[in-house]
Amino acid sequence: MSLNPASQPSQAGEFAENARRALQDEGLRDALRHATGLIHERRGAAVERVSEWPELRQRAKELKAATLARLDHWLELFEERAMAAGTQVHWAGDGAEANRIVSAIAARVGARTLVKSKSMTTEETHLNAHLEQEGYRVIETDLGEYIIQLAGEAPSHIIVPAIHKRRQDIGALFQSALNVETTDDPKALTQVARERLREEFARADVGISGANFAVAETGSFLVLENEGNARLTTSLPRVHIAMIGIEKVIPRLSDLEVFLRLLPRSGTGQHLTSYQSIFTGPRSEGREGPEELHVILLDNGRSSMLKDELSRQALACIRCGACLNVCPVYGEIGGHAYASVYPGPIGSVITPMLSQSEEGQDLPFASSLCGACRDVCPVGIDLPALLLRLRSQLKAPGGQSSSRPEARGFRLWSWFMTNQARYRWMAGVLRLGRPMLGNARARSILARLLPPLRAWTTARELRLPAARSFREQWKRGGEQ
Amino acid sequence: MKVELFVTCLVDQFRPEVGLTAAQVLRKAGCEVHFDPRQTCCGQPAYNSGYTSEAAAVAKHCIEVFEDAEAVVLPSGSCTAMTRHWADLFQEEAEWRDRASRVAARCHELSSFLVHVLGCTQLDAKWPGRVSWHDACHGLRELGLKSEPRALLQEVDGLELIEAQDADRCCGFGGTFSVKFPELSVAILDRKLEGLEAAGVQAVLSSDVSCLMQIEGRLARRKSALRCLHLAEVLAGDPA
Amino acid sequence: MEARRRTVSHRETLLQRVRAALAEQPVELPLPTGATPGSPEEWQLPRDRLASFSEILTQSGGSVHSVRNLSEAVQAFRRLVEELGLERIAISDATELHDFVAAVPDARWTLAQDLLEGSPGREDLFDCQAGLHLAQGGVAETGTLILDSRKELHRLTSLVPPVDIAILWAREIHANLGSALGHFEEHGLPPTLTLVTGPSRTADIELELVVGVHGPAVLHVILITEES
Repeated sequence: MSLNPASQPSQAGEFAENARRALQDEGLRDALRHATGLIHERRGAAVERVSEWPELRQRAKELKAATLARLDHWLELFEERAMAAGTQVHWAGDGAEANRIVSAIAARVGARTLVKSKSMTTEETHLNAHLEQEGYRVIETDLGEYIIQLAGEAPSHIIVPAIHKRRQDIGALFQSALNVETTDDPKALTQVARERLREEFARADVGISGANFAVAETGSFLVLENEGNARLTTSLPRVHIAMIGIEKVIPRLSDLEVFLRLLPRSGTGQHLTSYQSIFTGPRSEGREGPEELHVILLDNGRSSMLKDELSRQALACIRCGACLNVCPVYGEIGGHAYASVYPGPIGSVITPMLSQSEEGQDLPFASSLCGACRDVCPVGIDLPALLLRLRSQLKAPGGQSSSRPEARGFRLWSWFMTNQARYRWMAGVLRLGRPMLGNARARSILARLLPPLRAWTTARELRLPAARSFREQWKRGGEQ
Repeated sequence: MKVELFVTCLVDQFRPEVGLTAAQVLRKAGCEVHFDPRQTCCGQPAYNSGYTSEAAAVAKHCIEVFEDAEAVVLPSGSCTAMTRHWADLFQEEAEWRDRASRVAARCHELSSFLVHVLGCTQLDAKWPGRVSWHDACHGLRELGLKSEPRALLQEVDGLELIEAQDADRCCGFGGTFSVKFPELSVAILDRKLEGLEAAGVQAVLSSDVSCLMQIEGRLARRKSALRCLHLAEVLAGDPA
Repeated sequence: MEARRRTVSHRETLLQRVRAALAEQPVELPLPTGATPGSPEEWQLPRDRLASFSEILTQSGGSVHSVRNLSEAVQAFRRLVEELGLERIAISDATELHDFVAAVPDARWTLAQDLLEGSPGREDLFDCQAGLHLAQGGVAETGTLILDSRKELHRLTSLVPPVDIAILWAREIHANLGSALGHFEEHGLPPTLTLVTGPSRTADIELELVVGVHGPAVLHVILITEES
């Protein structure tokens, strides 16, 4: 366990402080820089080879918009077809309901050990904590998730959960948690995980997965992966439970094609991941696979995002992580600083939107609005527009981030900015302050009184207002 | 062609030479340049901070000021991008929405105006030196500006344009972001500066004074000799 | 009875919330139809499909052995057994594979039928060095194998042992993902349809590629090119 201050758990609502701590963690920053740079590069190379990339994005965007606009219809169709195939379909209004459904199934089948493949949705509901409280053993089998489970941490990236850890960190972790020889060779570490987890696969009673897409017309769902742990999770145990956010539904089997072209390339730079499994009902009698297949359709705040066209866009997210990899903010501090299940640009949008409480209300402000995320999003989500909309909702009177002094400040500002004479008067006042700003001692006193000034001048010099403004020079014949 | 110069509040108060050189450049390109002193600010600071009604009030003022202009030119990508958002501020006011769209359609960022409206890239400018271009975010991603400034700089006599690594990476300013999250803002900037310093240039150029203030502020603290200049200053040909 | 009523109301509550939210800004949007953009028209000829399939699967880390017919496939398999020193092999229930068993009589063969839940064979499965089975189809565009769980017991055979050996007839290779999915849209889906493109892999540690995690580390495809 490191003494690094950055390893203290991040507090929700404390983004500025969390970010500050993360910035001090050199190891974290090295790891992030290396990893996000690499995935972004690989994504770029893969996308370059697809000349129809813009058309694919457009198609995916339209498909998601059309589907979400009639989501109730597609959910009902999915349930009907899934049930016809023998799948048991459950509906969960929120995470607590979803977790209870899982533990009820586990109890009924007398389970003791459950294995899980990677599912951000189950992170969202805190399923593991719930199951452990109920006395079950829950084992994460995706290598990245296994690593952070051993470390007692949350994932810090949507696709690469342990992106914040260097190989030495993982080597030390395995040594202390699994009592194996210290190594920092990824191949050797992977081998250790493989051997340990095979024992768990063999003994597990229940396998839990997420799903990347659920197909309404066939009542099926698809799980994408590279490691093979999802296949094992969903093939060996007697019971398979899939937790699926309601926004994952797409209408037709053929619709998978556009997403299979977009997701692997956006996510990891691959043309396809090693495995895709499409599940339609439990096994038939006398054949391989789980005898029970359960799907839990989860709302947990998603329905509230259906209210208008812009917020529906955020539900189109296919969880590729490309926005994280290109974000200048995420790239410097990593996922833990967000103190939310979903970090980065998409997390900054959906965390406050999904939340029934005040979670994540500081996140929409933690962005420079550079727009790089919108450029890379494979389904064309206008993330900056969503961030701006959230800002105005949060700052509105009664909004969760509303601040009377700040609101007064901007009202005053707008009063000055809506009239030439008032604007010039304000500029005049600024000019009067110029000598003070130009004097180092006066500036430092002023900085103590004005937090924004102090914030700027801690690491940057401040340019003074010009001795004569443009309009003064223009008036005096500067237009020559 | 008659052109209204919308200098933007930062240029007016902090970098007047950018406004003066922008006017010079437009005249070199054959325009008659006017400056309407009623102008103030595009409203971006309030809009980005979530104060949409305050931004709307300021936008209304801008619309009134520039409504009769044939063409409005701004030496700022982010302010020009803001004009495209004015219409969004008037969800409930159809008339203002239309007026906003009409004015916004006539607002152009300087390099875009020169290249696409005037069809002019050769300005008899002279600026010997090695420079790098910083693609300011709003101009790049909302207005699609990338080739325009480069096309103009290619024609500057004696100027050598070096593409820095991370030329299109955010400088970390982001408006109030720069003072709400100062350490993060500077960390993002420092990463970008690595690419600039590695390029071995004498100056970094941009279309946005906001980015330039962020970059030069840090460079000054680090006692760097790297200069920060606006595109207009270079196109006006002043190597001082 | 009580439980079912509670479950029904969860469903109704959720759907009600969805409908209420959609009602705030209802919009009718048509579903995009027609071929997915860029759906490659190439590989219309079987031999082009074969070439693309082989090339891309090889690039993805698999090994492709082209043979003319089933008996040559058996020979290729025998060679692999020797090369890899295989002594304990899991095998699916495909009847086409009888000649393969006969060709390597000294191996310890674990049959898929014996791997079903509760069967004693399960422990042997984890001890197998390789798994042999058929693939029901392929995708030229992506170098992908298609495993249909209705047609064969190969879910575990193709997954647990560290070496995966799949026999595929080239005529079963679809041009692209769209046509492959279209086939299943028409003929219905099995309980599990598995698409395999190369061996198992991860980059979870510092983004460094490691091949062979939970699934097989090695994938061999014996591709039979005979037309009929």
